[in-house]
Amino acid sequence: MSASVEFLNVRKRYGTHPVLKGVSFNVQRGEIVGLLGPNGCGKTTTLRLIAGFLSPDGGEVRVCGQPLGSGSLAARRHIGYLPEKPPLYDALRVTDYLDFVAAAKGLSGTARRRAVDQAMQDYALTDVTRKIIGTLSKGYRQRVGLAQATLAGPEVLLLDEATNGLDALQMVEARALIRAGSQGRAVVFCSHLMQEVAALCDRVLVLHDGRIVELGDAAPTPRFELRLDGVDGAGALALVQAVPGVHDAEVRTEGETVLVRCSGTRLEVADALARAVLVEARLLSLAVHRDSLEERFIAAMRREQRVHAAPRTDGVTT
Amino acid sequence: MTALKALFVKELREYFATPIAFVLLAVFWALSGWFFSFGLFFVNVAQMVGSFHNMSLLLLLVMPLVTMRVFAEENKTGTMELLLSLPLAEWQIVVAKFGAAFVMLLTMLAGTATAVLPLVLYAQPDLGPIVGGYLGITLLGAAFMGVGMFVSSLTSNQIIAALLTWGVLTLLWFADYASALDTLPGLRGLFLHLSFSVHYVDVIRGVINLGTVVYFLSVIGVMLALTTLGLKARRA
Repeated sequence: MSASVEFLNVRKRYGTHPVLKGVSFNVQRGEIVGLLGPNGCGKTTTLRLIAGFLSPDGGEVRVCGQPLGSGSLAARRHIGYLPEKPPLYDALRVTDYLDFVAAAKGLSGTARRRAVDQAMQDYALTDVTRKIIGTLSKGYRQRVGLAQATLAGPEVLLLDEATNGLDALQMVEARALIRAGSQGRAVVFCSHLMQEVAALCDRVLVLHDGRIVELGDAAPTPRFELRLDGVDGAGALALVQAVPGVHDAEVRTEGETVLVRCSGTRLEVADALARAVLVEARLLSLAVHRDSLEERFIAAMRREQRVHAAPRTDGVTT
Repeated sequence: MTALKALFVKELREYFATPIAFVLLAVFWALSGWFFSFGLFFVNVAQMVGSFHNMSLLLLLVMPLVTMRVFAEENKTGTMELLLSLPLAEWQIVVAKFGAAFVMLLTMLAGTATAVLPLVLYAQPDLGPIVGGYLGITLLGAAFMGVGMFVSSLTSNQIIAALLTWGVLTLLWFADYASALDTLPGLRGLFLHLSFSVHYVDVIRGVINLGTVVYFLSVIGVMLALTTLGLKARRA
């Protein structure tokens, strides 16, 4: 089965300025993917391309297996989109606005009324049903924006800085609503706030210099450091790599001992590591670190900067 | 069809959700009434040619105010991003918005039709030219709307949209002036054909000939097509 969102080698430029330089990623149903990056790195452009608001200069964007483009009405029926500034008509009443969006998404009659009522209940809007949108507080406006995005049960939900500008309480509320609204959908949540991405997302992608850097799980990743005796470097590496859930292992010999550094998919990998190495070596120490999303983000950015700053070996400098 | 109707209803709701539409209607009706009364009581003629002439000038001033918000407001508030990501084709957006503005135009003109009543009651007007005049003034107003919608789609500032529309309409109104230039003899026919004022003379007399109808429908069609193409081009 194809992914709900397929972003295939997409390129986009504004004038002469390239924003996306061949970006590829997939988002599966049931997954919340965070899109991180500094302001102006192309996060909003990425969402607009998935929403069908923009067309790529190269590559392809597919939603639920259907290509997006100018005549892509079928693909757009699967999309719910909340841009950075909620797209609200200030002169309309909340119920009229949601009714319009539901009808525009193809719902009619009883199904439309039911969908609007459900959205108003899900996002606690029943108290403001007849209110003019222009008179609503920022928190309520955000809720109306979320309600319109999830109307008609879209398979793909796109949220651009959806908690931006809210106070602490509203932010907590918005997170809960987003989590509830994300059930069973493929969600792309873009933000420049790392704590928001860490709190909401399953997986994190970073946009840097028009390219995607995969950061993996949003949850802190455990990193292990083992000091071994009675085994050489190659043997230690083989022992560690045989443990399920271990990745990025590297070995350094320091005198009589071997220092092994690796990452794990979860904390419990530490026990498995200890049991595995004890078969053929002596475990002198085992330290566990947990890299926060912020630490991994900074490390990834530094790595990217080093890669792009390094002089090319063919004699050409970039 | 549901989506098109939904957008049409939304547009209508927006027109009448603020006092602007009511003020515009009130001003248009009041001024139309004033000009009609002047023609009826001071000139003492039971026909509406003068009223249609004044109405066409009023439309020239008022239609830019009706159409200025149609796209400029969507561009400014960011709701255009919603419209273009909903399962709506660009032509549906344009047609729905044109339809709602057309209802506004019909409301404006319907209000002035009350003037026909005293004519019928107290005189024996020839109703043919009056009906033809209303048809013509509707076409003229719709052509103004088409230009206004296209201009509104180019900007996010309603004032700029209104001023530019007014400028374009005035230029098209007086396009026949250029036909008098000796330096452009080859383009004389073109300038005459482009001019609103050349075509509207027939219209206000209630003479609806095929050429005039084709002219106004062409202006509407070209403007709506350009607006649709403009929306498509935004995705690039």
